[in-house]
Amino acid sequence: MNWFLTNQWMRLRAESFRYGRWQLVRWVVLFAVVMTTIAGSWTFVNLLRADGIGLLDVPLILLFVVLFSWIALSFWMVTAGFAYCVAYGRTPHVSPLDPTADQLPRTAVVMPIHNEDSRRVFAGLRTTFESLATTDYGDRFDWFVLSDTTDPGIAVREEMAWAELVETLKHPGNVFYRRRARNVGRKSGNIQDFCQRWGGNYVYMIVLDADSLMIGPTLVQMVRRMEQHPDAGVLQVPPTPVCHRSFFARLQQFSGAVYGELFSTGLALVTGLDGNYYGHNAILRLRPFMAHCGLPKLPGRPPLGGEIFSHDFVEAALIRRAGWRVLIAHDLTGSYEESPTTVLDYSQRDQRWCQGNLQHLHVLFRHGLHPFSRLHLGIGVMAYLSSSLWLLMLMIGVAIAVIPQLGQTQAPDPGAHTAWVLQGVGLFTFTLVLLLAPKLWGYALTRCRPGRMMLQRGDDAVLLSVLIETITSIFLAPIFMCFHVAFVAAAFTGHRVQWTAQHRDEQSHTLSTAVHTCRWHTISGLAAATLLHWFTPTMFWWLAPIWGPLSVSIPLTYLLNSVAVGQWLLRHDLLVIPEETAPPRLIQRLNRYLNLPSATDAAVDPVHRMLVDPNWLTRHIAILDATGMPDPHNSSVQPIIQRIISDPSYQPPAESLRDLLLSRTMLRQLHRDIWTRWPLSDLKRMMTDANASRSSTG
Amino acid sequence: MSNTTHDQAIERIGLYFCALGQSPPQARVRAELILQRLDHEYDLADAIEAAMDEAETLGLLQRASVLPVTPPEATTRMPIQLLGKTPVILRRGLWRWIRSRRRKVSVRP
Repeated sequence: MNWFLTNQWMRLRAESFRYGRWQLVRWVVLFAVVMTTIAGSWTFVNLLRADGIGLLDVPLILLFVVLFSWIALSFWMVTAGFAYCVAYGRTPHVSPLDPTADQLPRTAVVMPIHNEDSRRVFAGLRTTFESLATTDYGDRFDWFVLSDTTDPGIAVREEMAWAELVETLKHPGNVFYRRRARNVGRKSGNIQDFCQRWGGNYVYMIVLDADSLMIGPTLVQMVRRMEQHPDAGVLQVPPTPVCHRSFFARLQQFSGAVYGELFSTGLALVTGLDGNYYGHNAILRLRPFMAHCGLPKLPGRPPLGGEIFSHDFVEAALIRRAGWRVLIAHDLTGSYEESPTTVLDYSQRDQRWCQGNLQHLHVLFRHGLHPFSRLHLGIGVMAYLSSSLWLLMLMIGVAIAVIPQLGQTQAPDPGAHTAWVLQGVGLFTFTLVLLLAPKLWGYALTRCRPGRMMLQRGDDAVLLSVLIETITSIFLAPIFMCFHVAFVAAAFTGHRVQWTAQHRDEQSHTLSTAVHTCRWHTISGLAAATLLHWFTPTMFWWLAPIWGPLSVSIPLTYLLNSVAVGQWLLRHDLLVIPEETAPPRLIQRLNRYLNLPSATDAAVDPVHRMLVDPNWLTRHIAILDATGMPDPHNSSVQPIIQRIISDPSYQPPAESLRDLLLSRTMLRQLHRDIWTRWPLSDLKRMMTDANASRSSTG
Repeated sequence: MSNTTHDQAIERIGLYFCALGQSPPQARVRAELILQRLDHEYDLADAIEAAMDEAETLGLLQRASVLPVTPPEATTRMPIQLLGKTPVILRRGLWRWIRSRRRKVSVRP
């Protein structure tokens, strides 16, 4: 008994020491942020005081304080991460994978999807599934593809890809597929539907995105770590972006590899047991999640009210409010995702995230939330709002330059000119250090780990890559500032974002796409340059880093979207990440599976194929029966059925097709009528094609 | 039934069984057997219907229908959470909050 108590006491002491260490780091970083902000703001006020505090100086100071604290927070967080990585390295706190397979609790791996490329979805799932199977713990995990797909063609492809996967796997019994007839509540509603129907069967749920990849040992470690922390509600493993080839995608991948670890380590250190959840590549304890994370609708109308778009931050805040811990496992590797390949795709994703994060303004100040949950929600809001504040600050600065009376109440003292200039240069340098030091830390850490990037040209290539990334980031900053300002304005003026699937493939973007994406940026840049030159020539060159990139945004975007440029850089060892020089087995397998022929590759439209092929139809009806989708018996579908029967090449509208694909009775009837009345040549062509694809996969 | 319709029915039903993975000679035999069983007045729709029933009876569609779509359900409720109130100062705006405080002070005895 004594031994037990001593052990328990030791464990509690160790826990409290660890928690105390987290608390110490947290307060040191927050203190540093406050002191840096005070120092910067004091210098800024002194600069403005030289000619008196004018009408527009007050909002200028307020904006400066908010924005300077924002960059100071980012700097100190990355610096804390850097200090930790230098001191301890990335040593995972991994418990051995051996003894107790039977003690690993049942875990559901869920992958919510919505109109995604079914080939990529199921290739990724198969890769992760097979990686888990190598750990001998595969039977403790069940896999669910939770489809919210609305496009009938994609839905049929998903069914066939799932069936193909299940038939291919050695232990297929635990890969399940379910599609909802109506995607109520979007992604969070999709997961909620899973929890209500099957959540009671499992202790944990691992959430993957459509482009997620995770190695098996990491999945097992996630479960083990949750077992080790019985008070943990969520454990997030930060994902690393990989697998894309365009210049823009490779820039993000390089940033993720060089600076991402510092940021996630810093965030984990500062937030400690009060971390955040990013919506995928994370494990959730199902019982508290189901008890405390049923999301309400926000007051007011969309876009800022209604259903919650960015559900993950709110779920993390709710589970933390209920007393459960939210952990960030910054030391676990083998967690991957894919980033958008072009500036347009990235900005489209940003628009969705912007609207979702701005909705958090409704949640941010609610009673009962943990202060660090508020910090996470606030960081999310500021990620988009800060651009508008930067622009406002710039505009006030220009207004003061054009009409000096707005910013001064007295003539500046000529004797204090040198001190004023020195202070100004000092503040400018200080700001540059805060912005650029994280890049330096990233480079230094890469140098500290020889061979990590595994390049032929060694350190020079890494340095050159950091320079390319830094310069491109400087050019991209005003372009994304404009995007974000437009998105924030759209959200506040009531423009809603359509919930569309992210483009995850390497699209060949043309110059016209770049023109379409950045035409307003170019016009704004040229207009700003002209007006500055006209009204305040002194500000013209000072603001060149803003209007310059905007003016050249079209060629810049074209260059960034290019796969050819990305591959040229790769051939010259630039922007290279370890996963490119020595791809992990997981990525090699994914690429292999993506290149395998599939039954869904056939030239025939998948819906027509399903209506003709008895196997496909039977499988579709089995899925409808198993997932409990109601038979709509919609009489409005009848004319469509008649047209399909009379014209084999007819493409029905998606809305009618959706209803038709839900009706078992009508589908059976249509199948019989097609085999009776379609010309034999059409049936033969379709079945020849089916057999060809079957034999190529088989 | 005319010879043309009969031949067409044989060909269609044969193709149907080919689509289910049977070899062409096997499929043709099946088609002939099905048509023999039918009344001489049948039309193509009846013949196809009979082929569909036969495929089901023979278990040719079983492979497609027995895949484990979803496991047994364990229905559990997921209650909607209340987010808690926003402080009055933010909900109503600073100025309205100050005014409401003033009003409260003034009505106090």
